[in-house]
Amino acid sequence: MIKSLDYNTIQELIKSSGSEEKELRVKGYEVFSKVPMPMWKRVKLNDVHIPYYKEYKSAIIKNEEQDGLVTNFITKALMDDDLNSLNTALKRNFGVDDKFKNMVLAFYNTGFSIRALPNSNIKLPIAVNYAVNGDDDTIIDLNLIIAERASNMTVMFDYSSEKRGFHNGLTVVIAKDGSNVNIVKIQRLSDDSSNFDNNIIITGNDASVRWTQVDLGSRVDAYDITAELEGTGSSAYLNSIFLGTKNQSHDMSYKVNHIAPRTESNVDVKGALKDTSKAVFRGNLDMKRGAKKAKGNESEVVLLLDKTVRSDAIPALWCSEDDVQANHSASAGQIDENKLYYMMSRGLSIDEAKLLMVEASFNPVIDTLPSDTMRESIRDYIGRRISG
Amino acid sequence: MKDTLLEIKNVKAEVDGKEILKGLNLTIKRGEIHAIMGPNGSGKSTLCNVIMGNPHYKVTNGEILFEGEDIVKLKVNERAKKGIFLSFQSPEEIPGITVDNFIRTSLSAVTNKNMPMLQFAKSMKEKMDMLDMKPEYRTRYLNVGFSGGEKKKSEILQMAMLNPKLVMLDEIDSGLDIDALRVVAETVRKLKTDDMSILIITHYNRILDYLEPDVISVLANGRIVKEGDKNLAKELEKTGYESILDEVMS
Ligand SMILES: Nc1ncnc2c1ncn2[C@@H]1O[C@H](COP(=O)(O)OP(=O)(O)OP(=O)(O)O)[C@@H](O)[C@H]1O
Ligand SMILES: [Mg+2]
Repeated sequence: MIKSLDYNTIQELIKSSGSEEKELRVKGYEVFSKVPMPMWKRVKLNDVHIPYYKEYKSAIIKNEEQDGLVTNFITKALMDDDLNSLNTALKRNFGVDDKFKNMVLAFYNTGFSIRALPNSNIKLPIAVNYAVNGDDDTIIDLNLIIAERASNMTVMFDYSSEKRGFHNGLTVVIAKDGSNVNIVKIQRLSDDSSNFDNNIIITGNDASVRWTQVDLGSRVDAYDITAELEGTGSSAYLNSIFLGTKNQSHDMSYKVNHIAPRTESNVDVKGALKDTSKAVFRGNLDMKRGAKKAKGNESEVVLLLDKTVRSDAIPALWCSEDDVQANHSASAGQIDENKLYYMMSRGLSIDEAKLLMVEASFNPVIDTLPSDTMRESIRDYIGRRISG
Repeated sequence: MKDTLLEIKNVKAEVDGKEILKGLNLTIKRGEIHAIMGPNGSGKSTLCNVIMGNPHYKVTNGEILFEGEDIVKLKVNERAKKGIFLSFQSPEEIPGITVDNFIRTSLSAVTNKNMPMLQFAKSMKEKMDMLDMKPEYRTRYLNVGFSGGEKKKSEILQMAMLNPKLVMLDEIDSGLDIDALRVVAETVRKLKTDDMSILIITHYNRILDYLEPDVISVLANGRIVKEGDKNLAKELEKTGYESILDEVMS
């Protein structure tokens, strides 16, 4: 079943679905059909193949049967509650771009709603795998993660492929009062794939969200993580590593809106670029009026492993409130020649020496991943990419 | 007769377009301890860098034969794999990489195999005990925040683990207190096998009391200008370099 991303397809998709799903898809399609494809200066979209609509049946969820946890395939049924939560989130400004964001709302073909009930402590990390599998090469996922009052949970997404695939997703994380949410996203699609990801975090009072983004794959990659710190004393800690090799390009955008008093955020991005890869990092820190005693910090450190790479950092800091602390730092540099010589004098090839420096920079993030096998496989993957 | 490990023939080398080694000849036999002394700026560290293959230094003339093979075109890591080791006059700091991780990685690069964890730990402990280094240094980032003396010990620890054929000690004695110098020099002596040759660059006689040289060469102005036995060091201590230089020049 291959169809264009058009109104006929929408009609067919909603034929037998509930009113919630109809509402979502139709509204999404309205915007999608009006907005033109974005023209991006830094990351060229020429190499992106805009997909046809296709079903995707390869989604896997693990550890979904735990006390206090409710999970649903979003394509089976969209609940009333879920739609309400989605609508709350969709009022906010977020995402890579309106075209891509609404493509998901109109044409999503997979996704989960994951809800931790009030006061529940979900012990095992919930793992969601979206792999490109044979003909299942188009992943348009809509994910809704809701941590009810005073609950704890970890959700780990893994996007992977050996061959060309297309991924465009939208993930909403709502952390209600006093909840703690850990999100891990791993992107290791093949180096001819396209990846787009639109993410929003909304926090209640004293809620805390930790987000670890491991962004390694795809030929063209663009993602956005927007955090709306609405609850007093709430926080978002966003840690990311990225790797570019060959002609990959990464476009990363982080937006943190400090809305309530005593909110805290930290965006920490570490990257490495090799061959002719490119990366652009956009960091927006917005201290809104009323966000008294808020603290925001953003830093990006990029290792340039070859002279032919390109790295841009575009930081922006907005302060409408006086009583805040906000910092930004960005640095990009090559590995010192003397250090390379020193390491090579101990037998390491130039690539092994570079890999060691990349590991030194990435390890603090990799060490926080919630599974041994995941840590090992990420390290192996990075090793192969840098030596290959 | 012992065979030759390293033979340098009429080597000229420059850095940033400036000629530093000006036709240098040197032979080191297998198992030999060879000391090189000479005035500041005469080219001793340059010689070590040229033997190690630092790409910053350009060899414009001559041959460097290691076990009979010309290594001038080999990369730094290829020379390390052949068994050449340089203890740096100023070792680099590598943040984010622990001593353990770095030495394990080096060892597997040089030997092309992974030493089992337990054997590695045992071997590290043995060598660190010899060097009077506390075990917690294994988990510290390589040389980061190490004192001058600790950095020198870290160099010898690496040498001990990698077990090279040619060890170049570039002023291993600078920055070491009297006790540390004894510990380091004695460790090197214990680790030295009949197959290991040592090239000691030094300005002082004390280290030569622990590591008695078979040959002492004097390097001045980019050339070896004099060779002698261990008594040459004593002589130099009395007379300084000037008399030798006068002698050579005249
Ligand atoms: N990277 C470099 N760039 C420019 N000049 C250099 C460089 N390395 C060495 N030199 C010059 O080469 C000459 C020899 O230096 P080298 O470090 O080999 O001397 P040395 O004999 O080891 O001296 P010391 O006893 O002070 O350690 C000096 O004049 C030095 O300034
Ligand atoms: Mg020197």
